[in-house]
Parts: sequence; structure tokens; C-alpha cells
Amino acid sequence: MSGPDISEIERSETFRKYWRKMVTTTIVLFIIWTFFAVWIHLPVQTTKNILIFNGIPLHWFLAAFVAIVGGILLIFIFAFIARKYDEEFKRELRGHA
Amino acid sequence: MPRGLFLVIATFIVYVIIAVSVSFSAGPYFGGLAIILGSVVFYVSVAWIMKAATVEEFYVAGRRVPAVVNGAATAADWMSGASFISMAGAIAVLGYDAMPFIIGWTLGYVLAAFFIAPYVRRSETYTVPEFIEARSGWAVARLVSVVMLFVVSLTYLTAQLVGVGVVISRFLGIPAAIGAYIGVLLVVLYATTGGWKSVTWTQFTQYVVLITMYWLPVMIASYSLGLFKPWPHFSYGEILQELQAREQQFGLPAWTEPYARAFAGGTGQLNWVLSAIVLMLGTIGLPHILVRFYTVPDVHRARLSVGWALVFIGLLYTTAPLYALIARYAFSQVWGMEIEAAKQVGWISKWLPTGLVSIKDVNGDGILQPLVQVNGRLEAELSFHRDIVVVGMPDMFGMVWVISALVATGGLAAALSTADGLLLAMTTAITRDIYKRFINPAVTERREILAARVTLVIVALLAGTLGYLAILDPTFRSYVALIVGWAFVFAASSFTPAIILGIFWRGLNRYGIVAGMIVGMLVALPYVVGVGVFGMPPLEIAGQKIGTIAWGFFSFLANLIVSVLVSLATGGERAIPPDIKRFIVKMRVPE
Repeated sequence: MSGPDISEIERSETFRKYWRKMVTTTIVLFIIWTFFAVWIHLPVQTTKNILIFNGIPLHWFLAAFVAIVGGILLIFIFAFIARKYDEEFKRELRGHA
Repeated sequence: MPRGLFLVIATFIVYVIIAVSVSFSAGPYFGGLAIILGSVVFYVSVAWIMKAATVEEFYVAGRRVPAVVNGAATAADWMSGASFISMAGAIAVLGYDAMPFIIGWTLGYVLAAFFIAPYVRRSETYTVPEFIEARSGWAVARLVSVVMLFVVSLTYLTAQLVGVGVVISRFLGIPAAIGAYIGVLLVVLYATTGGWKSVTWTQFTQYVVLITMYWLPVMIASYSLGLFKPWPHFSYGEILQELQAREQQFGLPAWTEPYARAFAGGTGQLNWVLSAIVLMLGTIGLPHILVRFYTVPDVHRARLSVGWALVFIGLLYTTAPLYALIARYAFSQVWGMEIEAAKQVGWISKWLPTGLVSIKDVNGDGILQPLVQVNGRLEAELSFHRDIVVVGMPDMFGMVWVISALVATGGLAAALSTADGLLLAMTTAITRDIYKRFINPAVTERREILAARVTLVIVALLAGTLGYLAILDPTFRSYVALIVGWAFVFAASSFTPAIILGIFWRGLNRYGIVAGMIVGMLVALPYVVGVGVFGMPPLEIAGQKIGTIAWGFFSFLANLIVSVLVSLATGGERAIPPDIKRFIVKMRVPE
């Protein structure tokens, strides 16, 4: 990375703000991720009795389809939010310099 | 058009002409061999052509590849014999209890996108041992992580050779255990070509082959079962209910019944959930994942391409449960047949010589039941290796033999390409990180290459022997996906905590990293070997057995806790030199 020294960047308010936002977003998305990875698969004794699409038990479909699609959406959402933060950060850094 | 690409297309046309003409003139046996072995010869020729003419051209092109293409290439890289050959078979046999494979190997990718992709990219390290050394600033840490990498990769490689053995045996009509050694031969042939792995466009092509071959039999079978109303992935309900009614009739638990069967030796909900989590955590620590974040031009596209990779992986993973259902539906048709008639059923007669299917009339009534009770024990009259399900499905539906040969080429491509990458990683680790660094630093280049070749053959033979032993087990206990699952256990127990803490916690120092990795592996390895290989009884928590994959959660935690405690006890952040601190900041600051 060219420009200001990296340890100066680290101490700057701009970076702290960026890093705080990044960590918060990661934690929020991680919590949503646990929903697809763990929580929806726990109440199987209930979901196994719910039939969807003409005979597929819900607990099965949650693991076979819903969880994967949820994961894909989360990655794309993360990619777009992270790009927004990255660009804001770089704009502000240029503004200060 | 570049000369290399032209040659590749020409080679492909020659391959197709030879395969087709042999198929027509010599019938299924030699025709199948021509298609399968021909495909390997084709891959190897492509690798040679690329190496000779266009490696650089393709590599430079690799930096300009769109995120979508890079995603497909990553998907091909990621999916090994476990995804292609084995997973649907495991689900066909174990039902809902094998679903940790599906969610574990997909949702782990999401964690990789959140927690490591952008940061590791900025760290400018290409392998896990490199990352560990850069983060710890300690050569000892690198040495320890090379040993860990070896355990992970050898386990992974063994699984691929089991897969190759299974595929080869069906088409040569030989015992699968011997097929594993033929696999060694193919892998060595494949790996000596090198380069092939790093070419993104080639991997993209490979993905197309792989997914087409996977979908082909499922779509044909779905069509013959009338599942296109509107689309098989959503309209298998009726078939499923029909299957479960049949299971009830033969006294089996329903296929979708949760926790009715043992997964990796464990039972119950706790085992299911922990197994899934371990496979997710292992994804982060896998040695060959990091390098994928460098092939695109910027961080945003790196993040996007992880998303595309999961889309492409998802195309196979959402299809695997359907594959499994259709296969199970096919073999449920054999239940209740007379034993002698069952032996004549197409797919059973084709697989009997491989030793991967066995039929025995346990209760002597001349009828094949899925499960019978003898002296108070339940025994299966029809048992088979899980890894035959995907490659064998065309046989189960009486599809024209060309389809089974094509599916086999897909499985072989998946297993061989992964095996190749693992072999190269291990060989480099031994020659560069250990031999050149600690034993003989003054080695000449020629001797280094020789050492690398010798190592490669020895490692391949070692994995082949382990694969041979795994196939010989008459209970068919070890299958590709399970052994790959163990590789994930080892990765989660050694590298995952070091990578996550290394990025997000400044206090992690070199002593914490090394102590954590060693303790994690020492907790994981004996349990997996003892319970998984030697059949020792698994630990029970609240009446639920903890299987070999679920156990990885405890070894992961052990690593995490020891890493934190040892770091704190040895001065934590204060013990970290300034250049390492700069390294940590560098990973966090956007490019």
C-alpha cells in the first residue's frame, strides 16, 4: 500500500470507524448465518411432520435446499456491504490526506 | 486463437473420435475403458500442451477472469471425490442423518467469505504454513504447521484414492482394493504434469464437465420417474412417500426420520449438529482454499467470486439429496426379491465382482430383506459400499452403458484433480519446508527436483495403501465422504483457530499458536483413529454417541482455549514484535 504509513492509518479515526463497522456487520451476518446453519435444523420433531411440495418433509427440505440458498444470499449481501465500507474508507482517507 | 487452445480442442476431437469408434466396434467393456482412460490421457495431454505453449498466456488471462468464471473454477477445485462420488451415496444409505455433509460443506464457505477471504488476500500468503509463519514470525510454527498440513492432506488424499479405486474397479471388473493402486498410478501420472491446477480457464472447463456428468443421470432418471412437474428438485414428494411406505413394509425406519441411523459412528441430535459445525469450521482451515482468493483483480471481486463458487457448488449439493432419493428408490425395488433373482439384477451383477456389493441370505428364507433379525442382532442381507451409488445409478436405471462411463469420467476428474493439488502441496512442504530448510540447505536444483519426485511417489503409495486397507474393510465402514470428513476434523482442530484468532485477536502470539495446534491435533487424532479405524466405542454424552466427525468440535475448542490461555500466559500482545503488529493491521486495511 502506498501513501501514508500503515501504523498511522491504524491510529486514524477513519480506520477505527471502518473497522468497527466491518466487525459489527460481520457479527450481525454471522448471527443470521447461525440461523441457516444451526437453528432451523433444531426443531426437527415439529418440522418433520410438516409436508411441503406434495410430500417433502420440511426438515429435510431445510437441510437439502433452504440452508444452501440462504448461505449464497448471505455471501452476496456481505460482498456488497463490504464494498460500500471499503469505498467510503478510501474516499475519506483521500479526503484527509 | 492461441495455439495452445487450438491444440487442446484438436486433442479433444481426437479423444472423442477414438472413444466413439472403440465404443461402436468393441462393445461396452472396452468402450467404457476407452472413454474413462481416454479422459485421463486427455487431461494429461492438455496439461502438457499448456505447459509447453501457453502457461503464461493463460496465467495472465487468469488475472482478468470474471468473478463468475473464477467462482466455477473454485467450485471445481473445491469439489473432490467426496462431493461427486460419495456424498449422495452416504445420503442414500443414511437418509437425514448424512445431511451434515450437505450443510457443512456449503455453509462453511460462507464463514470463509466472512472471516478469511478478504483478510488473507491482503496478507499476501499463499499457503496455511506461510500464513502461520508470517503471523507468528517463528520458523518452528511453520514446521509444526507443515506436520499438521501433512496429516490433513494425507487423509484427504487417501479418500480420493478410495474413490478412484471404486470407479476403476467397476469398469475393469476387478476388486476395488486393487483399483486403489491403479489410482496411485493415475495420480502420479497426473501430478507430474503440474501446472494444470493453476489454470483458471481449464478448471472452469473441468467444472462444466463435472456438473454435466453429475446432472445427466439424475435428469434422465427424473424424467423416467415423471418428476418434471415442474422441476425434480421440488417435486420428489410423491416418490419419497412411496419409498417410505415401502420401508415401513420391510420394518425399516423412514429414510427422512431424524437420528435413526449412525453418522460417523455417532447418534442423536447433538452428534448431527456438532458434525455439521465441524465440517463448516474445517472449511476455513483447509490448506488449498487460501490460494483461491488471489486469482481475481480486487477484493470486491474476490468476495463476489466466493459467492459464485457457492452457487456452483450449490448446483451439485442441492442435487445430491435428489440423487440419493432416486438411487434409494431404485435399490428398494430389490427388497423382497428372491435372492438368486436379485443377483441377476443389472447393477448388482455388474458390481458383485468389485467386492463392493454383497448379498447373503442371512435367515435362509431365499428372499432378500433389507434388514433381518438373527439371534437378537440386526443384519443386512444386501450391503454395499456407499461410493457405488453415484457411479452405479445409470446401471440401476438400465441406462445405456455410455452414460455410466461418462459419469465415471466426472468422478475421476473430481478425485484426480483434488489428489493432484494435495500431492503437490505435500511434496512442496517436504522438499522446501523441511528438506531444504532444515536438512540440506545447499541442495542443488536438480537434486531438489529429484527429491520432490521421489517424495511424490512415496506419498502417493502411502495414501494408496491406506485407501487399499479402507476398501478391504468388509463392513464398508469407511467411504470417501467420511474420510474427507476426517480431514476436515484435523483442519478444524489445527488451523482454523489459528487463522481466525490470527486475524481478529491481536493478543495471539507464537506460543499460543503452536501450543494450540499441537493440543488440538492430539485431542483429534487418537479419537478419529481409535473410533473410526479400530472400532473403539465412541464417547456418550447424555445417551448420544459422539461420532468421529462431531468429536472435532471438542478438539477445535481445545485448540482455541489453549491458544488463548498460552498467549495470555506468555505476555499476549506485549510478546508480539512490531513487524507482526504491522502484518495484522495490513490484513485489515482495505487495498
